Amino acid sequence: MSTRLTPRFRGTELLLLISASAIAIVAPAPLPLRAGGRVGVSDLAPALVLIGAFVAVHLLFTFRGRGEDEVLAPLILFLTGISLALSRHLAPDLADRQLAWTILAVGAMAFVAIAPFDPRLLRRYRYTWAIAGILLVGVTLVAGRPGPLGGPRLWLSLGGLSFQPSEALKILLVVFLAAYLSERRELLAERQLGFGPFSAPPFAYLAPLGVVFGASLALLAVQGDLGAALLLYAIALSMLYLASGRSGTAALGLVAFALGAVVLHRYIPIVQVRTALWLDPWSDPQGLGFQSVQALMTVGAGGVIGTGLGAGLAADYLPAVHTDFVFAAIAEELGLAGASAVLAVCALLALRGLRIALSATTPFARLLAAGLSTALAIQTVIIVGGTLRLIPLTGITLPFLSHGGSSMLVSAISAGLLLRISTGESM
Amino acid sequence: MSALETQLLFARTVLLVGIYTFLATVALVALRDLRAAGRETASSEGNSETPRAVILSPGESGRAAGTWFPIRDVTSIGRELDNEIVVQDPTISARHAVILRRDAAWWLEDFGSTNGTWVGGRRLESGVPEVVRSGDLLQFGSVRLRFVTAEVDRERAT
Repeated sequence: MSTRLTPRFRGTELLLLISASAIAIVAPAPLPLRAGGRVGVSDLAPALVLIGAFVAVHLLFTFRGRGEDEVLAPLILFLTGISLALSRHLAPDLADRQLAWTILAVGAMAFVAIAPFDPRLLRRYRYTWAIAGILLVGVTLVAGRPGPLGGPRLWLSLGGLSFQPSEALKILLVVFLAAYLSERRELLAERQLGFGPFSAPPFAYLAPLGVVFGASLALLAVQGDLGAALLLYAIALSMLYLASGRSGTAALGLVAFALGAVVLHRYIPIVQVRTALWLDPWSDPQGLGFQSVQALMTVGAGGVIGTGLGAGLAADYLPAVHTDFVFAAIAEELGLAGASAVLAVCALLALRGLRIALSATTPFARLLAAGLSTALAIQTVIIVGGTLRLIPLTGITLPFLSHGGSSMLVSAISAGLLLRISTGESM
Repeated sequence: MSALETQLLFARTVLLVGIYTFLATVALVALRDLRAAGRETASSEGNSETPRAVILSPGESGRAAGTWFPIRDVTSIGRELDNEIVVQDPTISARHAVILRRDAAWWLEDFGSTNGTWVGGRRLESGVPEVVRSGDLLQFGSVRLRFVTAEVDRERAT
């Protein structure tokens, strides 16, 4: 690109980054104190490295002067800062690895936001993304392995590096649907009063929903991946609603979901188990209901202001506390007050994404931004709701807070895309 | 209360206060931004409606008559996906024409399209922009659109 770029001061971002940095620095401090020592530089090093990465991104955006959104990066620093502090005692062995993944993710975010590739390629290669997604599902069905914590066979490993394809699938789905639906938006929004011989069939917009529905079912039936299936279907349905603005479509999707749920409940054992545990986890508190019960006790142990960071006991008795149940640990250590604030930050992140969607310049960019923010929001609702027993528990990660490389990377790429859309670049 | 407990309590309080300060600041920034955006929309709605091209006969583009495309300061028309207005009709070229706003007027320029660009039944010479006004009938290949801006409607009203 030969366009000259002039530096543009990003005051709001600077102010918010300072505020979030203070939190990231204070958060890990109690841990060494509790161990009987003093707070040294080595205890704060991870937080400082993280802050350094965000300062670098801030400077990069300032000097490029393209006017990326100034709120997203501080929100992500806040969430990853809390995540990093938690990981020091929830999973001390993995903390350094998680720091490395987080830094890599911040780099990926900045790369996606400013790299000189033509973002219109995202739209042009829409069927490539769709096929890649379907292949991913297929490969996982055949070659998936259980993750490090056991459970369903959702992981793919490639030369020692394993990742969760359902994470990549999520972003592929959003990009594909944004391209597919923005291309057909007139068709979607059109009110079809008569059914003449040439009235456009609703097939054009029901087709992708059907495909996603099928893929979700396959994931669920073969692998028992309830979380991913629910997430993918919810994303497809909300994007369809966003693109068409027709509540009838959403209602139809919900009816299909209800029917699907009833049928699945009848024939797929894992759905029965999950539903039963949701209704009454205390029926088997030492067996199948163990995780759910422990998560609830952990949340309850926090009370209003929590036990303080580093004082939680969840690491000792709640399996997967650093990944799927990180919200329970947050509720224990920061209490109702802190956990509500963290949830509010997640909500603000999604809201900011929707705000970016509103001011996006092209229909594709608008739908993409709305889809990415909705995906983050839905994912948060599914796992937090599951932890708190509002909905049946399904194991997925909490964006920017859970341990896990693929999750962190994919969330950061979503954020990078949102930042890019916020510059108003033609997409 | 031991020194350790005091330190821990201090760290905990600072953290919670910090979290809520951060939250309040972000909420304030977001709110201010929304207010500003609200004012912007309100003022632009007060002045004029979006300039638009309303479809009269859609050809084989698959779009419905009566739907419309917004016209921005530079709006290209063609079959390729990177045009602002994408019309998938065989009589429309990949890059067919462009509508430009210059000197408070709207100009239409043909890009050397195969089947031509027409204003009110007259074919434009390729590469020579011509002024178009609200209410003009534009034809690209066999697709016909009505160009509408509110500015001229206001002139008529006064």
